Amino acid sequence: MTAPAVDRAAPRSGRWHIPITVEQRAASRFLQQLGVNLVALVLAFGLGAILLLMAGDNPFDVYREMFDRAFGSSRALRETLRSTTPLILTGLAVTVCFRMGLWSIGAEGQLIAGSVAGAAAALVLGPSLPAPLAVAAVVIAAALGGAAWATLASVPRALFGTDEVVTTLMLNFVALGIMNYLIYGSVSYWRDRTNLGFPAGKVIPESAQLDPYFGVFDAGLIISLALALIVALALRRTVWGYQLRVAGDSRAAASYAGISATRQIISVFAVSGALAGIAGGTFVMSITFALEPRAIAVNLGFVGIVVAAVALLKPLLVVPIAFLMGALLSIAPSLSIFGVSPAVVIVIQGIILLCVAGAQFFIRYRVRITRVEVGSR
Amino acid sequence: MEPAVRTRGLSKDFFGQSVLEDVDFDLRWGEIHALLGENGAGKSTLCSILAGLYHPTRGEMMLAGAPYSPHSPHAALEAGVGMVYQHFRLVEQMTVAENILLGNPDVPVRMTASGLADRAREVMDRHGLWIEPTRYVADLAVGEKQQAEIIRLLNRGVKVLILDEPTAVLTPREAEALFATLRNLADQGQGVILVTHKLREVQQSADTVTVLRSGKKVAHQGVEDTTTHDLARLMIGDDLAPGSGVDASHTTGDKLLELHSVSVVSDAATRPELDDVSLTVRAGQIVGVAGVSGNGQRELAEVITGLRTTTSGTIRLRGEDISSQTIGSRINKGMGFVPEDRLTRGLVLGLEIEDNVLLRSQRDREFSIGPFLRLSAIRQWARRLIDRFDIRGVRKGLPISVLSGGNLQRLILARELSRQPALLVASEPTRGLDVGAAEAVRTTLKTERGRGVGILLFSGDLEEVLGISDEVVVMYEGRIVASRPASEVDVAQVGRWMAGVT
Amino acid sequence: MRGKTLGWLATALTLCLVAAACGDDAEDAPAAEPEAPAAAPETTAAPEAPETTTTAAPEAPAEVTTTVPEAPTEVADTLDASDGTGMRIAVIYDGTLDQGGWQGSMDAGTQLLEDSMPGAEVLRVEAIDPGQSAQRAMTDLAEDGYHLIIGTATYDADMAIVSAEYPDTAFLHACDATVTANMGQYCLAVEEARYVDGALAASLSETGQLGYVAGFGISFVLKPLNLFAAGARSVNPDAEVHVVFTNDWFDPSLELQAANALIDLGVDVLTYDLSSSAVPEVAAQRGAGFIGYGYDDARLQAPDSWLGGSLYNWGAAFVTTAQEVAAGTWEPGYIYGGYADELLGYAEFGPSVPAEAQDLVDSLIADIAAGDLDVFAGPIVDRDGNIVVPEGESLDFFSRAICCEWVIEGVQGEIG
Repeated sequence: MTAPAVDRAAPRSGRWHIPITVEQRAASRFLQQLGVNLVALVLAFGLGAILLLMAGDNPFDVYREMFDRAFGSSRALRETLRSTTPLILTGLAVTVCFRMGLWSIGAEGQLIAGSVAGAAAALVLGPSLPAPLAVAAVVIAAALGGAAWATLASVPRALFGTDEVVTTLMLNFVALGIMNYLIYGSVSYWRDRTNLGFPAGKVIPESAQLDPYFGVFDAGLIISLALALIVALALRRTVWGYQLRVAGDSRAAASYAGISATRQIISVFAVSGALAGIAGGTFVMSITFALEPRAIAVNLGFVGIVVAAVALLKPLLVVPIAFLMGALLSIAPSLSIFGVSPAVVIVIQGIILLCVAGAQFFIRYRVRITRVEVGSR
Repeated sequence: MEPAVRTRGLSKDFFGQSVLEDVDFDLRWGEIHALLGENGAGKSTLCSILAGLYHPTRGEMMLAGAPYSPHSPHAALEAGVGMVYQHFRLVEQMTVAENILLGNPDVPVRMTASGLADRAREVMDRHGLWIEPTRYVADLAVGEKQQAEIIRLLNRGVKVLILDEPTAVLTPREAEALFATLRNLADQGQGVILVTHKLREVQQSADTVTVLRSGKKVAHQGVEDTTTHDLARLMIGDDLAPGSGVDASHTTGDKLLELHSVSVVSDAATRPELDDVSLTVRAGQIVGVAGVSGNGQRELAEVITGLRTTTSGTIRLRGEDISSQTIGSRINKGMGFVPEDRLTRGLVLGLEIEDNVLLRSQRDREFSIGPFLRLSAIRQWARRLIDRFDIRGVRKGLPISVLSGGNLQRLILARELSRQPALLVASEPTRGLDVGAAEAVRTTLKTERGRGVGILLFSGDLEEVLGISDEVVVMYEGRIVASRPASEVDVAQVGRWMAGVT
Repeated sequence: MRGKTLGWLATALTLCLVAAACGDDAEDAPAAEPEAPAAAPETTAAPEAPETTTTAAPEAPAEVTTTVPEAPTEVADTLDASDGTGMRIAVIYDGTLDQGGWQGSMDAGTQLLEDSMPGAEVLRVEAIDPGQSAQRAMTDLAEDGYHLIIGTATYDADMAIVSAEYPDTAFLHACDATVTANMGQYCLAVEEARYVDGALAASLSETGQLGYVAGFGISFVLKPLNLFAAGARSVNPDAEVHVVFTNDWFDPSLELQAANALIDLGVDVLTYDLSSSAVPEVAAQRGAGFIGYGYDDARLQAPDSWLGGSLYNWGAAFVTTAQEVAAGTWEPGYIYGGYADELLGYAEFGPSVPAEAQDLVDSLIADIAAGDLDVFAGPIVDRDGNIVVPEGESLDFFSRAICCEWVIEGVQGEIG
């Protein structure tokens, strides 16, 4: 018996290997997580500083300005939290769908549908209802509006397998077109007929306008935090959430477990749409006070995808990520005033998000450098 | 002469737990070396290290006398070490030929389908294996996929071939062919590592055997110097309980499951998946279905459990027509199911153990009140199953994908059997299990039968079918070609039926 | 998993606490809790204005006059009204500064403001969306002590909300409705500008088919479109204006498609009501002529295709307002004017424009400025055949401001 020619058996020294191993961590401790996140932020600000220096800005001034504008006063904090609310909700909406492996990118259109429905409820019911009931009516209407819009995509998906990426994307444009039509293209119920200038939406009654508590946060934030908790609990502790998680991991296992794909898809889309719709409703109650197409269609639904992805599709993690994202988004105009070019602001936002997303990865996985053994004999 | 593979003091820890400890292993050129051990003994870990999938915590490896530390399966393959995993590395949407030649540097980028098929045929002829190269992998039976996998590795110039439980999915005839191929390869000077826990296979095909127990090497000897009994004792650690045959005193009860002329035709152009199948399972009876994999067993199991719809015919459970009922209502009526694809269907690998024991019981009053899950009840139930069925390696907070194959199989069985079904459809329930565990499963099946459960057993292990079934049914090309009491048939006869010889 | 979530919550909480702590220090007591924005302040029409409208709201309604404060005198004391020394002015744009058209004409106004008041600090804030971003920017500017904040686009609702919270800051907004104690509007007679442009277009077109690319089919956009067609038909009664709406304010690729489609239709003179340079680009490529839109930036981009165009001189409104704010005499109102005032001008003609056509434009402008030509004089018939302005009548100031819900005859194309 002779050995076959195994000249390939020995590792070639010239060949480059990536000496890195990635392993899932069993569990991480609190301090470890905090540490990783802090390191990520420091890294992000470091990279951003280099960029700012290259753009000719003083990083320290810019960062102090960013911090001031995001958290430096109750007014700043209020702006940040006003941005956070819709992002929590669209982040949750995306999370729910993505967890089941439904790649809906329709949160934007559902948010618009929710603001149309919410604004209608505020205009019709608002004048005759006390504030808490008016707000509740708007939230319910917005949820129904968003859910209905999502159902337009979920039924074809569930019954005929129509690709939800395409339908939800198209429905975003349709929703935007409808909202534009209601205000710019027609004299609809939503449009303020007494306005002589640029077409604008009718201002909703005061009972449906959210006042900030302590000048800092409004009921919208409380609603969104409560919904984050409810979504987290629903995923963990209900049959519905269980079936969603099973179907998200393995469709074959879901059918084996007797889970009706049709029903699950439609219900998950409806919940997702309702969450995005509520984002639209609270946006109208907290920021625009009217159906204002150009103020509402500012990609909050798409940013929700980023929030959900960075939060690793964990509903409770969506909250701090939305907060960070909200801060980053809401200070952009301020930085523009401060003289930082909008392009630089966008890049800094991107760097911070990337680093935070990276931190979540390092919390979940252990990365080790593997020793490369060079043949020494 | 330098051995093909030599390891010294090889150790591997997972999460601080040692799964492989100081293993010295030697593979010579030209031998078939069986690696024997129970589930969790460290066989798969050792092979995974050799194949570049894991990196050892300690210890060193040599390949043909040179230091060897592959950083990836790809690097191992480059070095000439290839592994046939239990879960195949094939692209389902591509043809056999494309899979075999995938990544082969000699194949030009542009090549016609027939050119590829010719190349693949050449490769197959050279190694004495055969699968129609133009077929899509998704359409292949499990056994055929494995063959394609082996051919693919051989084509890549592998000199050390590692096979992880290769015969678990094969029919006896296919297994014979495989062993002949492996012998042929060994005679050409290649090293072959055969991971198995089937003692008979070791005796039948291997030259040398290394026995692992709890991550340690307990024996290394020539096969001729040992007996099945010795090996079993080395592997399990104490003497085996005497095997039990058919319980002759057993009596059967009422008709539980009745199939009348059930057919499944998914495409009129090809032959039906199931063709006029009639079958009866009584309470307290095990009906074993034998057949070469890919002859309708999967379809039969799916049509009974509701994963597939009938084209014609009726299925009755306790006299009630369930042909058009949902999976959920069949579960409620007491139908248990151990599916063949345990990783993709029977379990949710990305979720934790609690979520997996809950599968198919999520609507059960015991585990949910209205829309809410009873988490503490589920947790307790999971703990009880872990204890009772000796499921090892469960880590809190981590998905069950960290468990070994045998433990995953035990988990499905634990779940389906503990639910006390009226009817249990079990596809390959002992595949991938070691001797002791497989025997325990069979004992459990027999116990369940004793309690009046009707069992429909699909198994590629003919001895198992004949060993515990009351009634044997043989499938060939979607039809039932024979149905006899187990006591009236022998292996040779069933083998002929399986091959379509009547 | 639970531990991780806690970790995040703790991080967030820490940040909140830090922020809250800083907030207490940083915040100034006086403006601490500004009234929550109530309903946007009542939109106020500026009706019954005389024909010759000039700066400042002429005879503003009583409710407005009563609420007009004595002007921020304390501020004014320190400001120099002549060169703007000590004054801080911010101009907010919705696009980026490199855009032409509307945006470019506004920036020319800002430039004029800088030149006229060299002592003033003038800040350009670009790429601000209406809604939260705009509210945020205006609030920050007001907090930072800017004396005058000018919005160049559709920020009316947002400015109404913010201006209510900062009564000591002057707010000026382009062509919209809200006028309050510290918020005014400025606009110019686009109908005059477009009438002259239309006349030039028709006199140069060989086919009599004119193309018009616009954003949305809303009254604001229909007014200049209608008057462009009216001007064109005053020269060539058979002229037709083909309009395409992109349903966006800035979508160069769609504008490109629209312009090409119009030329395919047989149009030989194009114009537009948008801020990108897509239409001039297409005109140059396809050998058609084009009329500018309020600003002559496109003349340099496509000099051979450039024919001419009215110039929007926003700077006049900016300078007047800034000086009045500095002097403490500003009374918010509705600035509105045309050729008679300095608010409209005319650009240099393109090389291919014959003297005869140039004379036509000059005489039209002279007539309009002198009050001899009223572009809204009846009869005006819409394209469904209804008489919208009867013979011998015209539109009053109010009707002009809100015009038009109708589309004049001679306009072809879907309105949407």
